[in-house]
Amino acid sequence: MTIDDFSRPQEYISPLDKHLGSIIRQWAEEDVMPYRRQFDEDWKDHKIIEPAYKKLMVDLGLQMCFFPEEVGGWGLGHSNSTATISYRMFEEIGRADTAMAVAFGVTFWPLTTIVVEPHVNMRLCKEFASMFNTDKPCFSALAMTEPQGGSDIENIDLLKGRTIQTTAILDGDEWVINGHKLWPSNTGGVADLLAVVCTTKSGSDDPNDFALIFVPSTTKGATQGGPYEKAGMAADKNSDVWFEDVRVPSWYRAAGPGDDARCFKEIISWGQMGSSAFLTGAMMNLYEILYKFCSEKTYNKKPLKENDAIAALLGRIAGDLDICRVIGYQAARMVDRPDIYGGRGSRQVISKIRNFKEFIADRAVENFGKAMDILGIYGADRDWDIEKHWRDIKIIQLWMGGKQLCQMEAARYFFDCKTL
Amino acid sequence: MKADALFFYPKELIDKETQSLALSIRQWADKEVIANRLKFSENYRQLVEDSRKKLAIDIGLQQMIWPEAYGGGGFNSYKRSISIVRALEEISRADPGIGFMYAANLSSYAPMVMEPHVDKELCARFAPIFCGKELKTGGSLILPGAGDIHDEGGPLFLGRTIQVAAALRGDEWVINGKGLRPFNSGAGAELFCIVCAPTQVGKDGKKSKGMPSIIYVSGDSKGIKRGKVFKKTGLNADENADISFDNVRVPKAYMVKRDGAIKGVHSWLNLCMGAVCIGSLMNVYEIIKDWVDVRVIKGKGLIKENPLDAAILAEIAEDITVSRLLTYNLANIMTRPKDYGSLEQDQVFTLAEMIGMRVTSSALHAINRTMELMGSAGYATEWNLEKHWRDVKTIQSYLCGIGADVPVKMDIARQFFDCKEI
Repeated sequence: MTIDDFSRPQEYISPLDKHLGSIIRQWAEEDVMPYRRQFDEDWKDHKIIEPAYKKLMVDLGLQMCFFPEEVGGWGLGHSNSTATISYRMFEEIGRADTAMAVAFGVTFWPLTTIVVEPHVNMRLCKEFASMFNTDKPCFSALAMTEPQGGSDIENIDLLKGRTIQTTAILDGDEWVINGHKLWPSNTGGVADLLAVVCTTKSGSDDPNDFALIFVPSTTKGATQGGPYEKAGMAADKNSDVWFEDVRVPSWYRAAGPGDDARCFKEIISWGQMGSSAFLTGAMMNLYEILYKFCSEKTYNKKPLKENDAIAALLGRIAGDLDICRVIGYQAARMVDRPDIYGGRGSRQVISKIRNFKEFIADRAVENFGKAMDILGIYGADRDWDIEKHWRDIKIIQLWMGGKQLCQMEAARYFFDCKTL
Repeated sequence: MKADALFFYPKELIDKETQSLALSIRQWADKEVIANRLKFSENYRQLVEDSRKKLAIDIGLQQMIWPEAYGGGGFNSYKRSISIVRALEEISRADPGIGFMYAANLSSYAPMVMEPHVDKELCARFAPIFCGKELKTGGSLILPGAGDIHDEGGPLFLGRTIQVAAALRGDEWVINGKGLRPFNSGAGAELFCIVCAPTQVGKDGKKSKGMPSIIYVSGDSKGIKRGKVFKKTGLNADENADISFDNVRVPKAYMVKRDGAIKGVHSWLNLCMGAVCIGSLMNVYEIIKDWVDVRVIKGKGLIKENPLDAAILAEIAEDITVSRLLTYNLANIMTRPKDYGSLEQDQVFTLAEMIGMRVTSSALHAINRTMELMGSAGYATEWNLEKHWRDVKTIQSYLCGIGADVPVKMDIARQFFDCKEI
């Protein structure tokens, strides 16, 4: 039995799955896992973390993977298994370090609005491909959360963008952006490209006023603060980001009036699907660690796994991973095939994928906590590699509105709630 | 209303001396720790040592548990269980890691200092270390836990493997054990309280095994090897490291052979760790109360006025209330051996384990729910919540020892259903 034997719908699997999966697994085992116990102390500088990013994104070339072939990319955005192959990549990275999976995934998160069918915006692809086609790791950030509202902006079905305080005013051929964002992944000085959620009319709930605008981080007036210190996820930096009279060309808007709001809804589905992959990746590593520990350590003179009561816990943990992986790949399939399941930004798909992610996150949080207890006096020891995952995956449960927004989306969809 | 008044505990059982002690600790907590938390993240070890010195020496926590006859504070009685809980609550409100150190220290001294089993020889030997004016790390516990399939393994204490062997040679015990994981303070402990498997050779040359016992070893004994301080999830005030004993010799009198002494350590440990969790929860309440009193969602109402969020707040309050009552109830039971039996006997030992597990679990549940309400602020160091989460989780895993809550469940099943083979 290996981690590859946990279930996933084989008929959904991308033709690239085996090849890309094995490349990333080798990278994870050689370039991340031997060093990950030092990552926490490297949260501010990324001196230990950075070389692994370079290998993944530049040497292996993955930072160009979603861009169209015409601009030097691999063209994964043209595939009808873009999300499914993304899931596998995120899983493999997440197995080693979920924060690295986040940093990698978030780089393409806002870019899904311009590099993935049916939204390919060749002019912007060409513009930003040159930024990514370099010998240094290149990261994007999606700047949406604001000081006053937490995840209100992601609660788009209810609030329709009316709480957004960051403004974009068209001045000739340029957008002028002003506002203050918190918490985007890949900030703290990391991001080369910022995608900014803003409104063209303060207080408006008209979808035409919802805007997603790209801002290269070197643009005058765009400032990333120093990274926050957090409970985990050291390989992903987050900070405040300020926009003071930031000017970018008008065509840096992702899709245009109305379409930006639609794309943003799709971003929610992408984000929850990716989060699910980070989680199942970490759970795969949990299984590996538990297998070794429970085969070697004893209670009542027997290996832990041979005690019926402890075996029941282990069975549940493995069973949950098996189930969660199927659900996670189902989420990826739904993102990949709007022709079968409905649009990625539809209420149906968003609510279901949010639901999947909430379920997987709950199982992961519970199982990692239980696993630490199975290890007992060793559970909190960093050298056993579970406690870091435990800290990291809790963060995944909390972001993008956490459990509660997932529950509200599900209730709205399944019970036709009108006022939540 | 302040947290202390909102969450009931049996105030009528708190004497004036304890009230005064709790007030002193509260002032220490607010001034020395809570007000300086942001600085703590920059230079945690030094600031913890500075603040701990004020608590240990100026307020007198370091000597509190030792008998007055040996220069201690005289809290060395089961009758002081409630006072001990109250003190640990206040310390842990500021920093559960510091509370954890005192809780584990106390549990390690208990077999020799607690009435009615005060061991004069051991107290005379070790009290001077801890009853002076110099800050000490304290006593470290080495408890039965995981066995290893690669080793023959020692005898068991209720299914947990005893990893330390003590062989009587003349008037000394010779102690051996490799790669031991202490419960606490392995890096700097001045004293080890160890559960061991004793053997002795009789006049006929035959080797006989004694019952699992507690043996004390001075931290400066020859043959002790300490590993590197290991990194862990929480409780960073406490530096722990693996320990090996290589033919360490201690006088014969350093062994506490009393039946029930090991269970007594576990009873104290569960009570005290429950108190640490309650203290942590008191501060968690303060943090979330400040948050929900001003935080607006959906661009209009306060978060606490949303029914879903209010329901979560209710869960948090329930967890704190019930956990606090359970912990004080256990403390009260431990003060009344005539009514409930000694804390070294099965019934109170099992109850302590049950309540220890329930309180740590409820505490973690409450903190997890609090994090959900605070979102990103829940895991940002700046908001001071995530440290409580890491600290309490570490306590929960440590109390399990090995195999999650299964060993404790087996103890409970034995007690209530007379199981013989589990």
